[in-house]
Order: sequence, then structure tokens, then C-alpha cells
Amino acid sequence: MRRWATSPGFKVALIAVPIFIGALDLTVVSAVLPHVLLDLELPFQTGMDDAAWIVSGYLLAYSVSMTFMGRLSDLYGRRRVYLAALVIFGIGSYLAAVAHTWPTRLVLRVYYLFARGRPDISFLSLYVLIAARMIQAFGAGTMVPVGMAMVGDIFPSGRRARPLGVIAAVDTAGWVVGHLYGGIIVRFWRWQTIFWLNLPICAVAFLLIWFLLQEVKQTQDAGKMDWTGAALIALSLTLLNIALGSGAEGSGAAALDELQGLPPYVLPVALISLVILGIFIWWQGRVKHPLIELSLFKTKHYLPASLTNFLIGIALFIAIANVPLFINSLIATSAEQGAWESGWMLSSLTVPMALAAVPGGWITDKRGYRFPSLVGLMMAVVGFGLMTSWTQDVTYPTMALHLVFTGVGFGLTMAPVAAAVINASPAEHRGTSSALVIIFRLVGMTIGVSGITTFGLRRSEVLSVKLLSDAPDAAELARVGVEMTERVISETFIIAGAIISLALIPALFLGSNPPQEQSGSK
Amino acid sequence: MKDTKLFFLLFAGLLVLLSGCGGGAGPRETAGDYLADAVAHMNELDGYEFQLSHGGPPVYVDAEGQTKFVNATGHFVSPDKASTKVKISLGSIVAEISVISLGDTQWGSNPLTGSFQELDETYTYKPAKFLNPETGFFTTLGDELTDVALVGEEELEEMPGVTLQLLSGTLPGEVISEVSYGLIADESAEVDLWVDTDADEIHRVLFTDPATVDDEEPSTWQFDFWNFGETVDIEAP
Repeated sequence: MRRWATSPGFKVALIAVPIFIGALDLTVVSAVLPHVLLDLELPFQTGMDDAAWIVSGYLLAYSVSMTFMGRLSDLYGRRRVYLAALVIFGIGSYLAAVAHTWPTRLVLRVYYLFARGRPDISFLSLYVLIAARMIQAFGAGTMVPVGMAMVGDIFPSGRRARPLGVIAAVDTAGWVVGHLYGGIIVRFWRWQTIFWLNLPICAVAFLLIWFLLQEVKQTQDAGKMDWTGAALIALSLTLLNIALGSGAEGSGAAALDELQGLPPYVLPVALISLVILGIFIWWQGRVKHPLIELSLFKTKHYLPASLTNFLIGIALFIAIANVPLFINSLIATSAEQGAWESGWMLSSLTVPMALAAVPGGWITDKRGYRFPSLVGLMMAVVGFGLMTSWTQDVTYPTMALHLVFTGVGFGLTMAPVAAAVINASPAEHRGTSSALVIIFRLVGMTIGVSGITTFGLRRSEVLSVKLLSDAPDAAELARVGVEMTERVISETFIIAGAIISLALIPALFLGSNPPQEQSGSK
Repeated sequence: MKDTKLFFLLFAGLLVLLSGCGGGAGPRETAGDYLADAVAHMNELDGYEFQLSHGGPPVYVDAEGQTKFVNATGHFVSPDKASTKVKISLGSIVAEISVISLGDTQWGSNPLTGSFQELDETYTYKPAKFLNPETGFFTTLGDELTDVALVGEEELEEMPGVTLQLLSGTLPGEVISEVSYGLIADESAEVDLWVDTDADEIHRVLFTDPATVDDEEPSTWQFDFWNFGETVDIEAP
């Protein structure tokens, strides 16, 4: 076998490629969502809230699998679980590509056998697509912690930090460029191509990992899998998503100041979710082999950094979801143009974010975690403030400038927040901690997408009632439609700014000394 | 000779018996019988659900060619009430409009606000009138469909395990112009019907535009019916 093929660097690259593709698929759909709605013939009035599950369902399954599949790989072998995850991701990708064909027809037949009715084909196709996306995400999410643990198996303890950083960076890079990738794909091909392209990549990665990672030492823990904990965290996160997402289903007018209009089951479901989360935390403290080592949260900086990261996740996804929505609704004249221009415009946010992570790391080394975090968060608040001024007449250079400012702000916070979590952890828990950095941000993003869809749809209802006359003509409908979209998106940017302002509070509790001087670092 | 007489007597008796089996109110023999019974049954129903969908090249329902018809799904309550959701495509989005039909009066919803406005007479989509048991679609099918033939047994994909009889026939173009917004050529159109002959229920009617029948993607209009006998309350908005 050639020397390069057995080098640790090549093995890390081999593990990282599927992780990158899985993360890419996390955000790729936001660029192609208008195409999906159009292709599945989903009406915007009733289809949008359900269609948001194409994104939030992926985020949910991605986050849930990350919480316990790493532990499963401890018990059954990392390579085996990683390959299984690759197969699951491939099956999910195939099902997503063909969701509207035979899988929908199959479900339709099964439905008839039990209910003797005719469900709406558009919504049925959507639900099949959401299920396929969740299968995909379960595989993709599994690859992140298992991939990190495999790196731990490949490298000795003193040399793990850099390759672990590479895996985390690759994961972030994937969802950072996902929109642009989606925009490019739908510019030339149908949106299903995104999923078809995953299949050869999965096949090649499967074969290479099968053959080239056979010699990697696979430690198998003799302990037990905490299935109860896995079920509790999955249930808690799912219920929280349902509660946040279902707010869009109510028919009554409601905005943030009119939350009494939410469906009556939202609050109980949200409360049950929190109770189950409480039971999960209690259970983790009691069980011999927990999924999440709770003692980590007692270490200095861990809790404030995780909280900051969680709030950043919410605000970040508001920007990621609403920039394409703004362009598609107010600027683009076709779905293709919208996807293409949204992809490029979002790069003004995500590329500076990735680039600013590097100086963020340098500043952290010299000034500690707190300073770059606070500077970055304040820049993001100002950036969101600037974004609230967007109207239909805004130019792309102006939008890009505002997004660059916000992106640099987010980027500056990435390194200090991640380093605060990882450095606060004992060496044996650094893999788990690395995964938790991503999990907290993802959970924030999941909540962000569900919450903002709910808010946007309900606020649109309120504004349409307020702004339209009893018998509007076509011109009035068009004018009010623009005004309504401008106002709703502007309001969501205000909410994002407020959430980032809130993140300043936990960020104040991060250490102000360089990491090597922090008591919690090891 | 005696044996020959006996043979002819038995043969004549058998012929009488056989001819008796084929006459009167016995089993249905022709496709026309199936159609007549199914039409009568559909017109007697208190209500059902229906969907009108279009296949082939896009059909625009406005003069500017901006608004594309997607499908219309609704509930018909005999004799003259219907509640329908009409899906239309406006460039890069699909919108849904609710149409309530009570006799000759119709209301349509505003896609943004959801509030209803009375529709004027020129609005061509009139499901309550179209499905009226006295003068509507099924009666027309029973009266006007010619060259009715029994094609064979078929199962619809949406209804596994239910064997339907596929009938075919020809219908004058003007009869279906009302559903097709005048887009099907004004000449005889091919019609296929999927009928549950045990229950006399018509599950699907498919029109193919004769002008496009040889095209790679012929223009088709499809009516589906289900939940036979089911009624809902339909009131003015």
C-alpha cells in the first residue's frame, strides 16, 4: 500500500470528507427551499411552516444523533459505527432525491390500506422528504463525534488537538458554504442533484474507510449504552421543536406581543420537554456510563461558554434563514436567481465568519476568552442593527457590507468559546467536549429555525390583517406584500440582535486572562 | 326418429332457458349498463370529495399567462354546494384560494388575508354547478358519452386491492369546456372512467385533449372522487 494512503493525515482527510458533506446538507436546503415548495406544489400559506421541517428536522436529527452515537461507537467499534452512519446517510440521501416518486406512492398505498382516504399528495411528498432528511441527518450527525473519536484512536494523546480542530473546522465549513453550494447546484440542475451527488461520495468513502482504516486500533468499551438517556434527550429535543414549530399552525392573529393566540398545546409541550430535559440531567448524574459527563459543567468557563454558544446558534440561524428569504421575496425574480444570489450573499456572512475565527484564536491566546467574545458579540449586535434597515431598494454591496460586519463578529467569538469549553475539560473528556461545542450551537440553531418560522408566519398574519383594506386590488396586494415582508424580516433581525445582546451576559463570565494562565486549562 | 325428436325438444328447451337468462333485469352485460348504473348512483349520493388536476403543458387561468392552474380539491354536497381549495402557481410560489359555492353564488378567498369576496359571474370554475345531479357532469356523461367500451380491469395506484373496471368513450368537446377553461379543443374528446362496478362508484374520469393525444406529454384533465356519501357543512363565509 502506498505510504500516503496509510499516513494519519490522509486518514483524517478520509474521515473529514463525509463529515463535510453531511454538514453541507445541513444548510444546503435553505437555498433550494423555494424550489422544493414549487416542485411539491405546496401553497405558501399552509406549506411554509411544515416545509421548515426540511431544515429543522435535519438539525434535530443531527443534534440528537451527536448526543449518543459517539457513545455507541465506544461499545461497538468506531469504524463499524462510522461505516453504518455513512450507509444511513447514503440511504437518506437517496430517499430525499426520490422522495416525491416511489416512496410517496408507497406511503399513499399504505395510508389507503389503513385509513381508506386520500391524503394531500403535496404534503405527503413533503413528509416523506422530511423523513428522508432526518435519516440523512442521523447518519451525518453520527459521523461527527465518531469521526472525532476515530481521530483520537489514530493520534496519540499529545497530538490530538490539531486534527480534532480540523474535524470541527470541516464540520463548520460544511454548513457555512452549504447555501452557496445549493445556489450553484440549482442554477444548473434540479434540487434533487444535491442528494444524488452524495451517493458516489458515500460509496467511495465507504470503500476507502473499509480498506484503509482496518489497521486503526479499535478500542471497545466494556460498559453499557445508556439507551434511557438517549431516548430522554431525543424526546426532549423533539418536543421542544414541535412546541416551537407548531406555533405557526394557529389560525388566530398573533405576534410576540400577542402570544395568547398560540395553539393551546404549545406551552404544555414546551414544559414537558423541559421536564424531560430535567429528568435526563438527573439520570445522567445517576447512571454509571452517562452520555454527557455532567461534571464538565462544574469546570470554570464551561457553562458560560456553552450558553454563549447556544445563543449564538439561535441568532446565527436567523441570519442564515432570513437572508435568502429576503432576497427570494423582495429582490429575485425567479427561484433560480434567488438561490444563486442568496448563496453568494450569505457567503458575505459565512466566509468572513470562518476567516475571522483565525484572528479570534490569536486574540484569545493573548487576551483571554472574554475580550474577543465581547468584541465579536457587540459587532454582531451592530451588524443586526444595520440589517434592520434593509428595504426592497437595498443594494447588494450594502447588504454585503452589513453581513461582513456581522460575520466577522460571529467569527471572532468562535475560537474563544470553543477553546473555553475544550480547555476547561480534562484530557479524557476533550472529545466529548468538542462534540458538545457543536451540539450547543446546533440546538440553538434548531430552536432558531423553529422559533423564527413561527414568529414570521404569525406576524405576517397580523400585518396582513392590519395593512390590507377589505377589498384589496392587485396593486395593493403587491405593495402590502412587500411592506409586510420588509417589516417581518426587519423584526426578526431585531430579535437576533436582542438574543446576541443576551449572550453578552454569559460571555462576561468567561476568563479575561490568556488560556495558559486560566486555572481550568490543562 | 323418436330419439331425434327428443333431442330437438331438449335442444329447444335449453335455448329457451338460455335466452331467459339473458333478458329482463338480470346481470349487466354492456359497458353502457355499468355506466348508466354508476351515473345514477353518483347522482343519488349526498356528497363526496373530489379533485380536479391537470397533466401536460401548463394551463394558465389568466389572460396575461402568469397564473398557472395546479389543482382543485374539495367537497361536494348535493345538490348544489361545494367547498374547494384551488391551487395556483404564480411564478415562483404556489398559492391556495378557497372557493365556497352555494348554487349560483360563489366566494373566493384572498390568498394573503384569507378574507372572502363574492366572485362575479365570469369566474369560470363553478364546481357546484358542474357536479349538480340534475344537470351536471355525471348526467352529461350518462347522456352524451358515446362508443362506450369495457377496456378491462385495473387497479388505481392510490387504491391498492380494489379492482375497478376501466371504461372508455367519447364525449363532445363543448361538454368539457367548462372544466378546461375552454382549453381542450372543441371536438370530441377521449374519456376513460374507472368504475367500482360492485358499488357503482366512479373513482376517476380522465379526459385527453384530442389535439395533443399524440404528443409526448398529452394535455389531460383528471377528476378523482372518493369518500362517497360523506357530507360536510358548507355555509356562506
